[in-house]
Amino acid sequence: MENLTQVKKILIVEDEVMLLDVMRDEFTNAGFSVVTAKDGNEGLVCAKKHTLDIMLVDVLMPNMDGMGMLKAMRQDPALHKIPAIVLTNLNDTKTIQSALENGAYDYMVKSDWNPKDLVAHVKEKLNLP
Amino acid sequence: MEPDHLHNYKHLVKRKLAKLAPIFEHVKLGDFSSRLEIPKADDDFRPFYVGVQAMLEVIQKQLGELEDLNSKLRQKAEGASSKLLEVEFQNVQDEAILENIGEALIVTDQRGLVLICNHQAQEITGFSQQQLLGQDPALLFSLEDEQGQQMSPDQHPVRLSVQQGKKIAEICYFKHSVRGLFPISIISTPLFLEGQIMGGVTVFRDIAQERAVDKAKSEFVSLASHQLRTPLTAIKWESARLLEIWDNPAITMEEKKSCVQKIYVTNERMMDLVSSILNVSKIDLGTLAVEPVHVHLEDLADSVLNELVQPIQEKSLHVKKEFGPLPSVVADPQLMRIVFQNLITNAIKYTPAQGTLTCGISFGKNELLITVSDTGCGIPKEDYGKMFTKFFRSQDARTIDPNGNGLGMYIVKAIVEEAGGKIWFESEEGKGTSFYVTIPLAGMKNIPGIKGLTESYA
Repeated sequence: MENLTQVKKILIVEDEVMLLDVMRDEFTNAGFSVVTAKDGNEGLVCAKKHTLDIMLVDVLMPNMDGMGMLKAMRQDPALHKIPAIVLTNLNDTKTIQSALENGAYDYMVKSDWNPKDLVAHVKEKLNLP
Repeated sequence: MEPDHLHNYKHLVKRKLAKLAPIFEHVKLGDFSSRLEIPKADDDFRPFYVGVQAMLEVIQKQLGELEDLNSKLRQKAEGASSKLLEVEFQNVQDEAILENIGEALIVTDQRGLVLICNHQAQEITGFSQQQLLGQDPALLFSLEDEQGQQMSPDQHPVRLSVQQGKKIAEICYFKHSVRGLFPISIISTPLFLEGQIMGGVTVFRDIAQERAVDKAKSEFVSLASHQLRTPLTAIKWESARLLEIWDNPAITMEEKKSCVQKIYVTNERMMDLVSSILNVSKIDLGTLAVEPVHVHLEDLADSVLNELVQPIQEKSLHVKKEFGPLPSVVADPQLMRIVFQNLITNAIKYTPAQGTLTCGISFGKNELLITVSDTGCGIPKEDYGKMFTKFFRSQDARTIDPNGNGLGMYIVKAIVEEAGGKIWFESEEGKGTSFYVTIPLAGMKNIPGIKGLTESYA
């Protein structure tokens, strides 16, 4: 019950504006507090600034990509415990393996999901009803 | 006075000999076939006539035999020389095949020593014919397998195929004294003569280029499929949302319409991306058709500017056209349109409202210089090297136009280079960018290909 009263904060790191917009709306409608970033660098800044419950990280992004961001987070004691779900359209084993090695909590292929199920999946990971 | 009978005899002799005259005329011409009218038995001249007759017959017979012999000899000689020609032709043919087969070829004897090698074999291995002949390739060539392990002489395909009596085909790496390691495809086949291995034939070729092309292709395919999946995901998500909110009266018509609008725009973007990807694949595979004609580039630039009048007006951009008096060039108008479309569309995209776009064409030494300048955001220095790279988009470009696909400049550069021209740019962040393209007056060469490029505003 206590989870219900507490608003969960999610960081979405995604360079595709259209996808970012859809996710922002979907998570906001589901009661999340949403923070967004357009690349790994921005993502790290946001992660330090906010107290996050979970994050969704794209892989292919300019400046710092998702893998770079995961690596940087692992080395930062303040950040390495935040569960990071890698959300990308890359579905080759090499990328998946590398994401998990870099401490990704989960790996999701964008085109396999629709926004509603994506939110449901994240909720499940946070043990939310 | 001579006595009558002597006189008569003289006449007789004269007459008898005169009869022979036409026969000797024939003989003079090489014809021995004439026959004499042999006088009766009591004729004093009969033995003479018979003698001459016999002589003619003998000569004719022997001449006939000689002719037979001669023609037989001639036939033989002709046969021999045509055989000789055949052998010579076969040799020339073999050599031509050996030298032009496009692959390196080495023939080894029973002991595994080189008997024959073509010039490709010398080229690939870096050894001269002298260095190769009589040597054992298994000892001479240093090979590594695909895992980077040095191959022993016994693992060498040339030796292995002769030892095992079967064809060995492998991909391995050749260690060249100058070039270093490069991949080769090698096939060694044993040569049998009456069940006995007489040696081997080894054919090999440098596959470094093929490997690089394959790698580039598969990288491109995976990158392209990822690029396509992004707009597809956006369409999926946006339409999923639209389905969800469709019956919800609390959600305004405007919001629903905006979903449809986004789906439409993303679909347009994807169609553009597909044409660009097809264009890039035609360029990369070298199947691009070039059909040059005499064109006035200023007309093409003008028509592209006219097509883009709407986005120019929306941003209230000032357009300056600086076309001097220009000769025509030999160029493919469709390809040149794509060059102008990309350069001008980019200039419009990355220039803020009220900015200035300048399109100039001037006549230089043996070439036309196209300039497209804007007063836009400029290109960061660190991105200079990547401007013409497939799928590259600078951070500013992504922020300003998230829908671009990063293929436009790659395509433009390929077209300009096809025309024998050059492309470069000057840029200052926050101030603007100028792209320069030169097109030689000599122009593009006609290249029959599969198809031209599809226009797209990449």
